[in-house]
Amino acid sequence: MCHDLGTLWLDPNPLPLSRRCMNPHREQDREMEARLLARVGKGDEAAFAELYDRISPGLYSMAVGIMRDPSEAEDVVQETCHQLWRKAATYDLTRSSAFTWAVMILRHKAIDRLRVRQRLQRTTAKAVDLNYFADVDDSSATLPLQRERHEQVRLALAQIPEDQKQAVGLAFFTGLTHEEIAARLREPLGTVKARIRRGLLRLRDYLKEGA
Amino acid sequence: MIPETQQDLAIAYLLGDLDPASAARFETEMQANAELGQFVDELRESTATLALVLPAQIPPPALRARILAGLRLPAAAADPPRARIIPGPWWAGLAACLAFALGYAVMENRAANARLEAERARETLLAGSIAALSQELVQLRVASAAQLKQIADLSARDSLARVKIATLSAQVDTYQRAGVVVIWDDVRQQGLAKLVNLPKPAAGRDYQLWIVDPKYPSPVNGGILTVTDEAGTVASFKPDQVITSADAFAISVEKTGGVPKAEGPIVFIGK
Repeated sequence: MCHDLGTLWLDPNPLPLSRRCMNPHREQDREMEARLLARVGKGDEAAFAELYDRISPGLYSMAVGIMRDPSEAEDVVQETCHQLWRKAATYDLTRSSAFTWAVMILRHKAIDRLRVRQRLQRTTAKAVDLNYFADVDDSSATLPLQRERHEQVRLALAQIPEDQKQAVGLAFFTGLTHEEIAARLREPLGTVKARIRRGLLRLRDYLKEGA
Repeated sequence: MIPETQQDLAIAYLLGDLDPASAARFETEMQANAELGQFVDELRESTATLALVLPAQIPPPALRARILAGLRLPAAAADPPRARIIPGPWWAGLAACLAFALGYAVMENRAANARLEAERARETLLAGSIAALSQELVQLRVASAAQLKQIADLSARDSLARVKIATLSAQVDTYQRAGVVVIWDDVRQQGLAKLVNLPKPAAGRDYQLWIVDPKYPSPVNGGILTVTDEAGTVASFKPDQVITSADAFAISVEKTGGVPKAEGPIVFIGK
């Protein structure tokens, strides 16, 4: 599923590399995406296409990571993008970056689908990893513009204790409730909540330092 | 300084783990407390970066084309198949929705929701019972893409029924050619399932419908769906428990006569 730089030129509709996958959290990227989203809120389809090109790799990667099914991942991305289109006029850039807004919408939709599937298939998860960050390394960020931010997040995660990373990964990527995570890890609920809290706060603090 | 209990609440809010009432209370609290609001905003930004640590995937070009093409369509037509709510008297909407179900169930066009002419269906179905309604609809023809707009307009009218439509996706290659649409009447607690190109089950097996209601730990039994005509069958169903919220529907293959709790393979799911 991953494409490397060597195959990008084979795309019949190649986009400039700068549009393929922007680092969504640098200040200039945030500002650009906020401007694009403002235009999208007025019905500007060209702006939406540009925004899509900037943020879709991150969204799709996350959707595949959660759904473990490319077809369902596409559906989730499609629903997310259409919600962005419909709700762009209500976006408040003082609360979050456009990419963050999109990520949280996508996560909500993906987890919702995952829970329905899990309830029907009578399994608590489709091969849930206990550690979503085990394979994090630079080689998984194949596009140069992703690597910088990916490196920052990787360095931040490297500072976080394994038990906290594990709890954060389960909470964010699987949709398991804290009670379910506690049962899976065979830990008290209070311990799991504390690990998630500390893990997310450390991530916040380390990213602030690295910014 | 935000207390740890409030930090945990903030995290639960961000991760969508609060019930609607608690989430609303927390949002009110955030609006009144600037420090709390800033805490949540910062945490949201940093938490969202977790999306960057998963293995990078390039979305297929076809997905981009599909998304951009859907921008101008009504919400229900633009998104991948899922349930909608339509208000109004139950029989009128049921007529319109059954007309919708027949058209949509043609699997050659997953992206388009074809329906039958709603006005003709509504008048025809007024005097009938659900059983008569089913028989009438079997006679209806698959609508063209132009009729989708008529259906979209009709859906906005006040006179339409409060029903939910779900298109179920095949989970197994064997059923990729089949189409299943479920129409659920929340008020009357009953519904219809339109089955198109669905082969009769193997000997000793039946198709059984399930309704996912978060109120119950297990999917609710909707009963056996009998395929009378593989080209097209409309089957009525009534769950054996009260449904508060029909979040999703599923069909499994069970032993003849059905089972109280789903055991067999899930072959269709939709919401």
